[in-house]
Amino acid sequence: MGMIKLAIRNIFRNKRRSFLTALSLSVAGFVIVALHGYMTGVLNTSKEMMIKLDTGHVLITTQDYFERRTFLPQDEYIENTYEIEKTLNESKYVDFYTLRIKAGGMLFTRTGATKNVMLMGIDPEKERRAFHIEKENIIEGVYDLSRGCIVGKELAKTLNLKSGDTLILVSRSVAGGISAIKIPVAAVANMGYTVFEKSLVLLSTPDARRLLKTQSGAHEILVFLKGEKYIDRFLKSISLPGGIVANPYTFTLGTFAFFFRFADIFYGMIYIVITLLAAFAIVNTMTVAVFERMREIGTLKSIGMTDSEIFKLFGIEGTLLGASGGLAGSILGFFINMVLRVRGLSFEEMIKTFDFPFPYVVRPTTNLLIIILAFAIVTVVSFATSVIPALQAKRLTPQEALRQV
Amino acid sequence: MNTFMLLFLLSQQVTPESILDHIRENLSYSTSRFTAQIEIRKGKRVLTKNFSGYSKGDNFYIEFTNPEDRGVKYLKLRKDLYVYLPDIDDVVRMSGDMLKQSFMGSDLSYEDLVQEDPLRFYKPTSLSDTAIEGNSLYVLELEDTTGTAPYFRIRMLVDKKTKTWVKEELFTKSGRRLKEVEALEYRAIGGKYYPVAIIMKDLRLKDSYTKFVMSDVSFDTPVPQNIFRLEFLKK
Repeated sequence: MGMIKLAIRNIFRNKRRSFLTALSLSVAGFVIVALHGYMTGVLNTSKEMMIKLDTGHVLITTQDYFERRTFLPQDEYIENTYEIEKTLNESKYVDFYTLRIKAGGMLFTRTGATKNVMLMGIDPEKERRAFHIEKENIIEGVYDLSRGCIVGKELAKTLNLKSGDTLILVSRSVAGGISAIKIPVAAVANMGYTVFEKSLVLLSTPDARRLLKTQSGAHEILVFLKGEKYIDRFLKSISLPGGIVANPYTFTLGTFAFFFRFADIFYGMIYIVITLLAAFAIVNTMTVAVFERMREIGTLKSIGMTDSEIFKLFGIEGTLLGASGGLAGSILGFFINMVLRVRGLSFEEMIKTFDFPFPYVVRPTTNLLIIILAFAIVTVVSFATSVIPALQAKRLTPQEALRQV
Repeated sequence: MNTFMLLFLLSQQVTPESILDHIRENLSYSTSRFTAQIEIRKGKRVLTKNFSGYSKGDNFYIEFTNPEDRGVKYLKLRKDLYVYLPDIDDVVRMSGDMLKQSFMGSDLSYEDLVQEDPLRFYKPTSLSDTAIEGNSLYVLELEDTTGTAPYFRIRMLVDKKTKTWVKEELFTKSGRRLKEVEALEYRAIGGKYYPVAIIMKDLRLKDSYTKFVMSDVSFDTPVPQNIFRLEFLKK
């Protein structure tokens, strides 16, 4: 107990040195926590976006549709979804599911402007937790698909569209014939994803069916499970009608899934390197701080303090500085990540020219375990580094230690 | 006499240019009337569409008659392509990137459809001989010299006897084979030897082909004048 008091007194004896040391250690703690939140945030947000907008955890389609999905073969649709929906409603692994109608099409405006577009028919109620456009992302008009379609802001900008304008959408019916509808623009929205901003026209399910001339059915059923870990169990548990396939998002995404795996490993390696750099910074800071106190060790030895007591004193001092700095930095990192998670980090200006599946807004993750990890790393490394000079001083006489500069 | 013989022989000599000119000449006409069927295969599905129409110079008019597309009409007037859509009782003009889209879901793009004398963009680069299943053929290589053709290079197999193309392979500048067109049947019509059945494959698509079969075709015959007017489309 006395040793702890002495260590605390030592810390406050040279406030500036102690503050600067603790500050350096807190930066290391901050970097470990903040970087982890940012990196996992980037990966999770991208993956979540692809799952919500494109694949679900599991995608149910016809076999032929799945094979030619890139070309949006509108004639390959699930005509009767009743049996599949019944299976999904009865499955204990399913959280919710959505039905989507997708087709390629051509858009014509009254002013003669034209554009190739992607058409997607959705049920906004069912999409509430998947493809949902938040109120603040509606730039103009209202998010009400019963009043018309919703277009991305880049598409609206290119074609000079405003809510209330009437569009002509031309596509192919499921029977293979050419078909068209006239539909007003209900809203212009920030879709949060470059490809959708430039080319997506969102329709209600009835309007999409009217265009594709079908009474029922859907091209895709996106299944969202209670957790990603249930994918295999869910796939083993269901039986689907002939010609219908269910594929996990990792298979559906193909090269993008590989990108996620690669990015996971790559970011993991970067994170390890950054953590090692942070540890190296701690070693550097503590070594400088303790080695400049060699003369002090000599003095302590000459007044009768044993090697073990010196070892304990410096160990406690390092641990206290590491713990306080590490905790402060980790909490600051956690707090900043929490704020950014709510506000979001916008990369829109940077990525809107690329058709890459990266969300406009990235939200860092917050994880209490990382605070504990960062705290532990900073504290343990601080302790280990602070006792090294004390161990070295063990081999020295008080006179030799006093001569050290 | 020897000079005359030499000039005669030279005039009969087969050059890549003379073959290309012959092919272009064989496919040219001032007006036409036609009734045709398109068979489109995408995956396991096969769709059949029927249409009839007229052409005059650069312009053409097509009207679909199969139940799914009944009333859909296309009108090409000079460089513009218009479509009448019965669902909305309105006409739209196809332009820009839209022309790269598939025509009625077939392997043919609108761009392919609107090209008037598409071979005019090309210059022969080589000519060689080959034989397939006992038929003697020329292999004629063509390259776009204008930078405006939809395909950079064409490799054409030409029948030596009739000097008509039997197969075309269409390539990008990077050498990627995009499409393949094969003439399935030729018919002598009005002094010309015309391909009345062809099959086209977009090689980027799996299990896909489009077969065009002309059931009734005539060239250089009178066509209704009012058809080549935009106002007529809505009637």
